[in-house]
Amino acid sequence: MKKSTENEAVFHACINDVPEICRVVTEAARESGMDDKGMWKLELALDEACTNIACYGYQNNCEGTIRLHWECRGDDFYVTIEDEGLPFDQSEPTDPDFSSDICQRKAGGLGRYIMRKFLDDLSYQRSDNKNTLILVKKLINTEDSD
Amino acid sequence: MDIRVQRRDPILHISLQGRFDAVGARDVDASFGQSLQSGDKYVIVDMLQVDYLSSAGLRVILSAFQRLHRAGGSLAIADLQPYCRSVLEMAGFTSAFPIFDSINEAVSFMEGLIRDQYHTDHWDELETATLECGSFRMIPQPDSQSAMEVLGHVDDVLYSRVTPAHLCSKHFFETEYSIGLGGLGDRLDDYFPIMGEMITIGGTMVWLPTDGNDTPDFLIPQKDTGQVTLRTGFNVSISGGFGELMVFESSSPAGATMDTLYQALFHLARTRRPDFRGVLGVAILAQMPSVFGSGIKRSPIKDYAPENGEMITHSSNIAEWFDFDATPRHQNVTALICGVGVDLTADLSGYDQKEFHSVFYLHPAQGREQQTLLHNHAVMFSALPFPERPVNLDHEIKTVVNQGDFIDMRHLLDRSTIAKGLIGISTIQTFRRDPKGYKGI
Repeated sequence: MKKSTENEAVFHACINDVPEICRVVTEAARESGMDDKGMWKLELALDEACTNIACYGYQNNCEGTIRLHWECRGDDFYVTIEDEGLPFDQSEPTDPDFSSDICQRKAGGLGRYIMRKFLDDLSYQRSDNKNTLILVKKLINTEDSD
Repeated sequence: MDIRVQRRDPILHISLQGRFDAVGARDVDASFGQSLQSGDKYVIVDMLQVDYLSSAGLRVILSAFQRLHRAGGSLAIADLQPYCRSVLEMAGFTSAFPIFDSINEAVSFMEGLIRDQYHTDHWDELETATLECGSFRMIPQPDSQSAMEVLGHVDDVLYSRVTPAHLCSKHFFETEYSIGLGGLGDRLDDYFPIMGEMITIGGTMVWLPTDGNDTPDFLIPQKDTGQVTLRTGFNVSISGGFGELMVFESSSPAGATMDTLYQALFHLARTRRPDFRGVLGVAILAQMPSVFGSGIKRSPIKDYAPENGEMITHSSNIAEWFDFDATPRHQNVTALICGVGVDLTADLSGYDQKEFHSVFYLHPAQGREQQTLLHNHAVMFSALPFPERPVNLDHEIKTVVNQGDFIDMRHLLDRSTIAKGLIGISTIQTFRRDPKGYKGI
């Protein structure tokens, strides 16, 4: 039987706090029955999201907050991340250019690419000067491609 | 993040321990910055104790690699943990980035770069030899023990008696230099009845299916070449690398024939290599003024065996089984050649005779009063400029594969000519069964 959890936490929007955010949320995912591989992918996606908020949304000033809420709905684990930093870059995400020479390749976009690749769903909303990201990861990985 | 820096000149070893996330990336970036400022060009990053890598880590690695590369150096990664490797793979770094399973492999890679750089810088001081057919410049290489690794038996090809039970499969790798008879495909029916001349070079496999269309089929695996399986009834591969690397320029613009070139290589081997025993394996990036090709027209399988019971090279069968070009099939092309040559004037009794005869036969288009026995396959591309000071065979071959416009693949007749060539030479010590191949399909 999978256990449903419902919880919330607020953190400083500081890259030094990101490992703790990842620990708390993946621990909840583990308690909900997520497998190791799924937890690793969720952790990386969370890391990318929160690092982006701390570095770009709050310009590395460590003054803002990141509010997290997580819950299990059926076979899916939902993480909602809210912050009041700058709006996200909403330009159409492009995949990293794998064909280009590694010596010329731009490193931008890798974080967003990792999030889209490692999550089962990802959505973003901007309202009332607030960013809301919703990350969805299935508890059990069915595909084995990565 | 715990960062330990050790200098083993001229290579800098950086061992990381901990979480390579945004915080770790900041520390590593600062450490890289210091090292690069002090002029280090060759950096190996040991990731054995890193169990977590995010895009921030990737960015730092990529930017350090690019800075070092611009400075004429490189950065290599060793000992990656599986999760970190997945991240690098997903970011598309693994195919283009120097990543090694062990520190030792990374060190050899760096030593190769350092050696190549030294030879480029000291080009005019390299040893040269001038023979009638042209000049040779020798690019010193580390010592190697070379062998020919064999799958199948040439007699089964010559008597057209290959059966599915004879077939071998083999994964091939970036540095697999081999020629033979085979094909690609998952199902026996896809390749067995149409096997033809084949070559693996520069991480590609090219074969000429004997389906009547006379059109080569080729494959450049994008990801891990080790995952692609080739099927073969007979295959000879050069193992142990190339102990000699030479840049050849012919004295005549028309080029030197393969036969003349091999005779020159045998001459050089006799004078330079005390370990020369009569057989050379070669890989050449060549500018070819003319290509005369030949090709087997049918898959030499039991069902197609000649009714008269003679070899397919017998005068009564040869026209039915082989095409020979009377005029050049291609002119002024860039070619990647893999081949083997026997100096028939040498004492060949030192080789294991059973294995030796599993490889060599007299090619039907050639006379019997000859001093060399050659077997060369080539992949042809539209002419590319010959590299300025080529010092690294694998690198130059890979560049042709990546940039060249593919034209054709053939067995080369010995009167084909070469005007310029970067020639890797293996002084073959032994013949043995190929351990990479396995029976079955």
